[in-house]
Amino acid sequence: MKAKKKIKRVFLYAAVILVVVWTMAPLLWMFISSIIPGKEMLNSGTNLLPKQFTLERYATIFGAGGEAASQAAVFRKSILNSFIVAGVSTLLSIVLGSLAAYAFSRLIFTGKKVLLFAAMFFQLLPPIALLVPYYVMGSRAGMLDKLITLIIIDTNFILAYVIWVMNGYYASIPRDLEDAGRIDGCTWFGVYRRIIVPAAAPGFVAVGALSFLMAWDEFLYALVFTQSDAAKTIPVAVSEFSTKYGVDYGMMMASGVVATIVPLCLALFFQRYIVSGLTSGAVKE
Amino acid sequence: MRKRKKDYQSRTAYAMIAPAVLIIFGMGVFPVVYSIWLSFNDVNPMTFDTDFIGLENYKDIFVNPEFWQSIGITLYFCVVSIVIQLILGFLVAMLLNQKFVGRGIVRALILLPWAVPTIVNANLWNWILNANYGILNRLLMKLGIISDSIAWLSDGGTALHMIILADTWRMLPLVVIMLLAGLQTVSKSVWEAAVVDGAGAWRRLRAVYIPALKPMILVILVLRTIQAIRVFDIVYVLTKGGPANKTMVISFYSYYETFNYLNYGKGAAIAMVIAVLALVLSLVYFKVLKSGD
Repeated sequence: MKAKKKIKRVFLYAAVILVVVWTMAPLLWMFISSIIPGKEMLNSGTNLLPKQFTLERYATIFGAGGEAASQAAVFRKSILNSFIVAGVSTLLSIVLGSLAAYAFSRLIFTGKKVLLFAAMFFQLLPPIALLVPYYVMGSRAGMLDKLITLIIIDTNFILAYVIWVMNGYYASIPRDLEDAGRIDGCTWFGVYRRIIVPAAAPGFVAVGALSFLMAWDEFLYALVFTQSDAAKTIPVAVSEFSTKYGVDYGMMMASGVVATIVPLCLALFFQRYIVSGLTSGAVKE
Repeated sequence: MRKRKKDYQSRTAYAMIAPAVLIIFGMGVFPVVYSIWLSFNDVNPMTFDTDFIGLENYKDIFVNPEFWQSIGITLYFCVVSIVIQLILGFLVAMLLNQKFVGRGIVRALILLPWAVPTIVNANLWNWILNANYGILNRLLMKLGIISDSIAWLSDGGTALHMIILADTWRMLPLVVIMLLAGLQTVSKSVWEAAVVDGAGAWRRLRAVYIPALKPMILVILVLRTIQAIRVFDIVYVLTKGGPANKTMVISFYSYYETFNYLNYGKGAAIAMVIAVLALVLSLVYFKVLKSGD
């Protein structure tokens, strides 16, 4: 019996190690590749690890010059662009979406069902479905290559997500508090601001973190709508590193590491909120 | 009096939803209608002038074997990647539900791939799978498993599976943490009762875990299908639909028709077909989800 238990432990730990290796190896390889010196990068031998390491690429990314300096400058600009696009569209969606979700969740009005369904509809619609009309509208209106265009597009998609999830989240907040507030003479908006917003704070955190990640990750629209360097976001900039010999994998990996830092921190920090942020709209209690 | 109160409530509600609804109409409803209109037109790629041609674009699409092939590839991608991710996700979630030293750290680490942006993930696998210098070929050769390097991404048989691999590495954590959350709802007493009754592993799985996880599995199915059907970024970086259209998923097909051939009308028509496909699939799921309660 004891031996059997021991064997079970061995298998358990072996499986855990396997999972950790599967998870971590590609990540580590991204980092290692980013610090392999240029001449060792194109190595087809069986010597898996390089003999030397260099931080040159990171220096280039942060403005120290080097072969890829001009592409690095575009990447630097794209970090700022991504922060603006993801930050503004998240903020807009949270402020407008949570207020709308509150009305959907608590107030009685005509057209509620139809409008709520519209919000869900746009969450389910694949982004590719709106690409052509956006592109034609954007071209005609001279809105290509502008951050504001990406902000408006991202806000539309995130807003639908926020309304849908927050509507589910409010359903889990007991109504007693609000009733008390209403009796005390608060307006609906007063109840929302004084009672609901503080009570739903964890929900805002979860939805906010996920919204930011969605916008940070968005590639298709950014690819089509940004042709000059001025409005490129990170996903577009990292896919464009190249040398005269072809793809510049070293810079791709280094910029990839940099681009991963923000979402990595968000994911680790808000880990326990993520599941609720993903499911509270879908799983009705 | 009651009527006035109700009016006041409606007015407040409309004021609260107005900004959100305006954005959703302006950026959602109007473009969808416009897109339907464009799909019935031949659109001049320079001036965007439209020329009404009725159902011509749809006819073109439906008689084109490339379109049906891309539908097939998309469905294959969806089904295979979701099945693999559900099975692996369940195994990993069960593992991380056991007691072992360092469980907290492993549970935090497991989430990391999901934080890697899609495009960065695609670049990373493009590099790992590189035929000449990629670490996968070099590792396999060093271990003596293969003697010649494999062109993972330009071989028709492996390319789509490599896209599934890259997608699975990034999305598995999501499935795992959702199933782990679902496992918390398995009541200890039920499980213990099953053990006392001498239920074997298979029976415990069927009688205890599957029923408890069913709502979460359905949510994962919905979420992952919605995501899988729109796969674009990984294909754009890894294969651009090649080799020989073997990885031409429907989103990439629409993008390619639109921006490579500058055929906006036809691109809009394909996009409409994708939209209908995605919505029908979602509605079916929601019906299942509702009936599951």
